[in-house]
Amino acid sequence: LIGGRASCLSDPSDEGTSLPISTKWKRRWKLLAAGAIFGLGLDTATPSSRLLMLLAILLMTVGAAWFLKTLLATRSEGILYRKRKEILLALSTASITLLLVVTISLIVRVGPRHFAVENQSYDAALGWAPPDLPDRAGQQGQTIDSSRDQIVMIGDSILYGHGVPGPETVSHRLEEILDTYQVLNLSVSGYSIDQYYIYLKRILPRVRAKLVIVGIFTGNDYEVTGLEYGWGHTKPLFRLRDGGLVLHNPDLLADNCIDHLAQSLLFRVLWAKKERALDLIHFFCSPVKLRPEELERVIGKLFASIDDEARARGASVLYVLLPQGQHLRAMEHDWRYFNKYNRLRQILDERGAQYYEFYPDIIRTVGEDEPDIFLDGAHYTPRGHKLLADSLARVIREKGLLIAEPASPLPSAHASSGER
Amino acid sequence: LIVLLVGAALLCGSCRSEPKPKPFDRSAAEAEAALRKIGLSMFDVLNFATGTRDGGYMYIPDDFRFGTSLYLLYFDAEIRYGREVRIRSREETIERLRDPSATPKEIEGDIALARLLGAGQHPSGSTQMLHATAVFEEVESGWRFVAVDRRSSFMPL
Repeated sequence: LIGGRASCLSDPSDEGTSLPISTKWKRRWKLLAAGAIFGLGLDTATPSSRLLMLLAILLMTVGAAWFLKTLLATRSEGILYRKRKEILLALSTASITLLLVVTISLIVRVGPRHFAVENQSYDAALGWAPPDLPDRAGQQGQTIDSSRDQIVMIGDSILYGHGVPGPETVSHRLEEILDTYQVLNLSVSGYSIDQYYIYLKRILPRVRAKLVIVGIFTGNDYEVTGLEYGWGHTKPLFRLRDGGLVLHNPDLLADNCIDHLAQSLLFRVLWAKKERALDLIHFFCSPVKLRPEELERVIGKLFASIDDEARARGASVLYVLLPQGQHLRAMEHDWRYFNKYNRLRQILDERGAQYYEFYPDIIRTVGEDEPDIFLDGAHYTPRGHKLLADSLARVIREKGLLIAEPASPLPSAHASSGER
Repeated sequence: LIVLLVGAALLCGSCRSEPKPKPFDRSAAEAEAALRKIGLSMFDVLNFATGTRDGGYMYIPDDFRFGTSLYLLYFDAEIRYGREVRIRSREETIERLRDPSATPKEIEGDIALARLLGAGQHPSGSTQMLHATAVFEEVESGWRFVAVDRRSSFMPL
């Protein structure tokens, strides 16, 4: 357009009049400059800075306006003017259509991707949860067996058994070993420590739990517990007030920016580029994010609250630190400075909690290369689930965790009335 | 207006950089105390000096927009072993892991020592110069001590 390939824009001879050469070049330079400003705006646009985004929009607007003004700056007659009008009409039609598509896809809510495939729905307290039926629990939808005592497991997709057939998951394997108990798997994909606590609090009164196993995935449980969203949906976020836990967002079904954005048709497409999607959530919604000291105190309180809930019903608690793949190799490198494995273990130590670390058993059993244990560096293969079940059965026996403890009164020191 | 806008866009390139960390406010004495604690039954610290320049600030982004801000305080220390000390090699550490009585913390302690002091035999009375770093992490109240470590490739000199 600018260089003269399209003669309709650069060569005015068709109009029956000829512009001076200097005017022609002046217009070409103006078009070039306007295009450069528009391009600079495009390059400047980044959702990570509001200031830059505003500047980018301003630059693009100025660039586009100048371009159009220069383009139309000719006499309103002749074939050249008509061709320019046609081009502008085509451009503006395309722009308006694009704008409409983006707007509509932003308005149409389709929900998080995992709802459709993993038996979950919206939940005001948890963000997302399996259907709340009186005799069923967990994402696996297990029926609660009222004739047996339960070992209850809670965690995220790792313990749920993402990518593994139900009978080969850790809970089924553990029940094969400790068959006088029903091993009830309450795990739900995407959950973090706050959701473990809330879901346990909901389900524990319905079962006769003798042991609660809490699977802490050290790859993201720390971080997601400090956020008010996770995996395309708002989630509960606890904060500390007067030494107790309070919910920052008590009604997760209330209209909010994150759900609007993250569950729109547009974001279904954008989630393919997770980085970009998160950039936009942070740019438009400014979600709350806890800093390390508050977050670690919140996690400690959540562990205390889980202990209290379980103890009140006569159940012991065992925390399991579930590593990412190649844990030991990673811990030999500077990776350990941002991985939160050690911080989580320190919080458990400070609380005097009973916990079990899985990674040494992985290395002892299959070696450092961990063949056939991880599906993807986080989730386990059937062999990984079997190894975890065998290891847990051993630890439960060694620690005597299924020796019945008397139920103690439910304390309320760790939770404020604001909790759901 | 256009010149101003273009100038602002060019200048604002720095707006894209990571969040600015708090000024580092910890003392070298804390790093020295941490080194002495590590050496407790193994070595004495004869000399301790922070370098002419530190590793400085480091920001490590992650998938959750959490990010970790570190400060790397470089130091040089001369230590003398009070007894014979043998630091396990990597292979020996892995072998030790096969012993069910070895705890993960002991294993990780072995790894940390090998990083800092080097694997092998250190005779009683021998001295060693350490060129190491104290790692601090930024938290709400300032900087908290994390570890004493070698100056690795991750921590540019």
